[in-house]
Amino acid sequence: MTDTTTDAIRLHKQLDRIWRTPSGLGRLSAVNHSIIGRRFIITAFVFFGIGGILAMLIRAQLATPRSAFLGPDVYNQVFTMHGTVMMFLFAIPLFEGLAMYLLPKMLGARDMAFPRLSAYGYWCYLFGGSILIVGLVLGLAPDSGWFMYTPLSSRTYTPGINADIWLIGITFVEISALSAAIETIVTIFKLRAPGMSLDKMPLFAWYLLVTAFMMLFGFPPLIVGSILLEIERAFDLPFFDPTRGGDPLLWQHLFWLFGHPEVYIIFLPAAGVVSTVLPVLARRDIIGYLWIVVSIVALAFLSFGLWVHHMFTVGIPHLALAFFSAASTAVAFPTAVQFFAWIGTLAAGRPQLKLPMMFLLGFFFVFAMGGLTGVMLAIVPFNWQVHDTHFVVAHLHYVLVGGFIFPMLAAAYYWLPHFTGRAPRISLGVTAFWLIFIGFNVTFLIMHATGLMGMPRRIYTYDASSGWEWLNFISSMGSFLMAIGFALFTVDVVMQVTMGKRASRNPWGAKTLEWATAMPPPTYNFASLPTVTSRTPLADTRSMPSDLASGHGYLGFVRDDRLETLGVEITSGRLEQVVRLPNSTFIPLYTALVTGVFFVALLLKFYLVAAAAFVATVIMLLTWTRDWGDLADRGVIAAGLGEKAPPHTETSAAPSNWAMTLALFADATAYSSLAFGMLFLWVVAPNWPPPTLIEPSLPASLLIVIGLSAAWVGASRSVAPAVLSDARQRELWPMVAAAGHLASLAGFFMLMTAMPDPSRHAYLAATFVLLAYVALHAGLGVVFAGFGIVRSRGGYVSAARALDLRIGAQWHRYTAAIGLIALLLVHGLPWVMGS
Amino acid sequence: MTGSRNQAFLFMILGFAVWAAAFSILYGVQGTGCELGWHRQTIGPLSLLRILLIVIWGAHLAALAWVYWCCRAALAVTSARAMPEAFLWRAASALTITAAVATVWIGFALLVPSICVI
Repeated sequence: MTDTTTDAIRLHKQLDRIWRTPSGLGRLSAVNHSIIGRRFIITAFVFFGIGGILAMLIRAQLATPRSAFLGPDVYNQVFTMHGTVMMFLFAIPLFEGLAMYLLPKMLGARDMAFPRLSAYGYWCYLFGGSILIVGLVLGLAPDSGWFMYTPLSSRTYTPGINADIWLIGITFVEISALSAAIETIVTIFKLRAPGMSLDKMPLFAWYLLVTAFMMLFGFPPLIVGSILLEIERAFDLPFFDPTRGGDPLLWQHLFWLFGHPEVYIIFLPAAGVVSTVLPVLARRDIIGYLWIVVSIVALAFLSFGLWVHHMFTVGIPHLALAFFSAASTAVAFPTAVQFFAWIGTLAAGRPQLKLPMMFLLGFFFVFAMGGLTGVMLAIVPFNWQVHDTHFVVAHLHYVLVGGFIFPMLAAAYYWLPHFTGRAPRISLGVTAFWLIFIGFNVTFLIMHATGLMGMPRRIYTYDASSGWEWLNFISSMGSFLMAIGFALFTVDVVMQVTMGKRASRNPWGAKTLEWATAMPPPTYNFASLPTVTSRTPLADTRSMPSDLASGHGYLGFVRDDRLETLGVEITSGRLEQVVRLPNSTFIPLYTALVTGVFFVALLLKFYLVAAAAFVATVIMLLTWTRDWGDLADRGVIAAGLGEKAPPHTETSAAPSNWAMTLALFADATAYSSLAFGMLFLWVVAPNWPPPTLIEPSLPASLLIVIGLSAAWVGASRSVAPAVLSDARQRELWPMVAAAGHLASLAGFFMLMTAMPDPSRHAYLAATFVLLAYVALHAGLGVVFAGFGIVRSRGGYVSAARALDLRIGAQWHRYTAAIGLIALLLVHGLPWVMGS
Repeated sequence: MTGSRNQAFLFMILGFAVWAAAFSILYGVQGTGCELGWHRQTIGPLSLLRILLIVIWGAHLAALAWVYWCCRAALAVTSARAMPEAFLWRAASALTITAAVATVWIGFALLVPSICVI
C-alpha cells in the first residue's frame, strides 16, 4: 500500500467519524446534503407517480364521450390535484433535491451552507405534501383548478375544506422552496472552492443561482395571495369579494406574478442540466459561456413581465395587452440564444448518442415545439381564440415536459452512477425513451387540434357529436404508452441501483468537480478541498481525485472534531473564511413537526392551538443556534496549503448574515405584494371609495414613529465597533431596539383596535392586514433583540464575534422601514386617492 | 479591485432593473391614469397620459444609456486578462444592451394602440 493510499484511508476514517449520519432511526436526524438531496429526489418521484396516476384517470375519463368513469366532483379534484402535485410537489422539489446533492460537489464544498435548514425544508415539503395527499384520499382534495381562481375558490362557491387544504398545504410546502432558495444562493455565493471566481463557476451553478433568486422574488406573491384568500375564507375579510370592494382579479395578479416565473423556475435548472451534460457527451467545452450567462439573467427578468398574458381575456386596456404581449414574445430571444449555444456545441464537437443524449435530443424537439406555440399564445388575438381550450393544455405540457422532464431523465441516467456507484448491466432506457417520446407526442401533439376545434379545458365529459371523440381517444392511447415508458424507466433505475455492476470513476469523462469525489460520495464529499484555476478543473489536474483524497488540498485535516468547509469572496473566489457546519440533529424534524401542528390547527380552525404552535416553532428555531459558536475569539486559523482565514463567526460576510439579507428581500417582496394589492383595489376594484375611512390617530402614530426610530437607532448602535467591545453597552442597545419595537407594537395595537370592523370593506381588510404584518415583524424584533442579549450574556458575542447582533440589526432596521412605509400608506393613500 | 468586481456584479443586474422599473411604472401609470381620466386631457395632438408614458419610457432609455456608458468606461480601463472583472463587465454591457432593446420593444406599444379602451 502506497503512502498516498494510507493517507487517504487515515483521513477518510477521521472525517467519516465526525461527518457520518447515524443509522436506523438516527437516520431521521440526517442533515447532510447528499442524504437530504436524495430524499427530495425520491419523494418528488413518488409524488410524480401519484400525479401520473391522476393524469391517467383524466385520460381514461376523456377517452370516450359521455364516460361514466369519473363523476364531475371527483374529476374536479383529480385535475386540480394533477396540476398541483406536478407543479408544487414534483417539479420544484426535484430540482431542489438535485441542486442540494450536486451543488456542493460541483463547487468544491463539503455541504450546503445551512444543512439544518435543508432538513427542515425537506420535512416541511413532506408534511405539506402529505396534507394534500391525505385530502385526496379522503375525497376532500382541492377542486378549483391548480390556480384556485376566485370566486370559485371563495367560501361561497367552495364551502368545504377542499380549498383550505390547497391554501394551507401549499403554503407549508413553500417554506421548503424559500429556504432552498436562500440556501442555494448563499452556497453559490460563499461556499466555493478557492480560486473559483464567478467566471470559472460551472454553468449549472449560474442556472441555479438565477433560479434561486427567481424563487426568492416569485414565491412571496403566491404566499401572500394564499394567506389573503385563507383569511377571507376563514374570517370573512373581503379581499376578493367585489360586493365589498374586493376584486377576483387581485388573486389572478398575485397568482400569476408567481405562476409565470414559475415556468422558468422549472425550466432553468433543467436547462442547466442540458448545459452541463451536453458538452460532456459532445466531447467539447460549451460554446458561448458568457452569452449563456447573459441569456439566463435576461430570461429571469423578462419572465417577471409576462404574467398578464394569462389574463388577456379578463378585460384589460389595449395598451396593457400590448406591453405584456411584447414582453411575452421577447422572452423567446434569450431562450433561443441558449439553443444556438447547444446546437453550436453539438456541431463543433463529436457527439455520442448515449442514453442521456437521447433524452436531450427529445428535449430539443419537444421544448422547441412548446416554445413556438408559446410565441403564438403571446399574440393577443390568437390567445383570445384558444383561451381555456386544450390547445393551451398541449402547449403547457410541451413546455413543461419538454423543458423539464426530458432533461431530468437525461440527468437521472447521467448522474445515477454518481449517486449509486453502479452502472447498468442491461438497460431498458432506450425502450423507455422511445415509449415516453412517442407516447408524449401522440398524447399532446394531437391535443393542439382538439383545442383548435374548441374543446375547453377542465370539462369532465363531452357529447359524441362534438367531433373531438377520435382525437381524445388517440390522446388517451398515447398517454398510456407514455405511462408504460415511465414505468420502464422506474424499473430500469431500480435494476441499476440494486443489480448494477460497479461503475468506473467519472464514466463520462466529465471535467466538473462532482466527478472528483468517490462514487458513491462520502458524506464529506472531499477529504480535502480543491484549488480551481479554470472552468474545467478535472481536466486541468488529472490526479485531482487522488490528491484530494490523500489530503493534498485545503482543510485536509480534522480540527477539534468540527465539520468545516471554506468560504470565499463572492466574485473573485478568494479564500475568506473557514465555515463550521452542524452535524446530524433531530431538531429540524421536531421543528417541522411543530410547524405542521401550526398548519393543521389552522386547517381545522383550532386557532388557539395554532397560536401556541407558532410560538413553539419560533422557540424551536431559536434553539438551533442557542449553543452554537465560540466562547472566545480564535483569530485566523489554518485553512490548509499554508493559508489562514478567520472562522465564519468572526467575519462580517458570514453565510448566516447573507441568509438574513436574502430572507428580507423575500419579505420585502411579500410586503410589496400586499401594498400592491391595496393600491390595485383602490384603483381598479368596484365599490370604491370605501364608505368609511380610518381616522388618523396622533398618539398611535407618534408611538409608532418614535418606537420604530428607536429600533433603528438601537440596531445601528448595537453593531458599532465601540459598542461591541463593551459588554454592558452590547446589551443596552438591543434593549433599546426591543423597547422601540414594543412601543410601536402598542401604536399598531391602538390603530387596529380603533378601526371599524375589517370585514365591512376591502379597504379596512387590507389596512388591517398591512398593520398586522408590520406588528408581527415588530414582535419578532423583540425576539431577535432578546436573543442577541442572551447570546451576549452566554459569551458568544465579542467585538469580533458579532454575528448574532448583525443579523438582529438587519431585522430591526428593515422592520422600522416597512413600519414607517405602512404608516404612510395607511394615512397617506386616502389623502392621495381622495375619498 | 474588489470594488470594481463587486460593482461589475451589480451592474450585471442594473440594466434589467431599469427595464423592470420601466415596465412596472408604465403599467402602473397607465392603469392609474385611465382611472383618473388623464387620457381625456390633451396637449396638442396627444393625450396627457400618452405624453407622460412616453416621457417615462424616454427617461428609462436615457438611464439605460448611462448604465451602458458606465459599463463601457469600466471595461475600457479593465485589462482583458483581469478575471473575473473583464468577464463581469462584458456580461454587464451585454445585459444592458439586451435590457435597452427589451425596453424599446415594449415601448413601441405606447405609440399605437388606444390607452384605456378595453
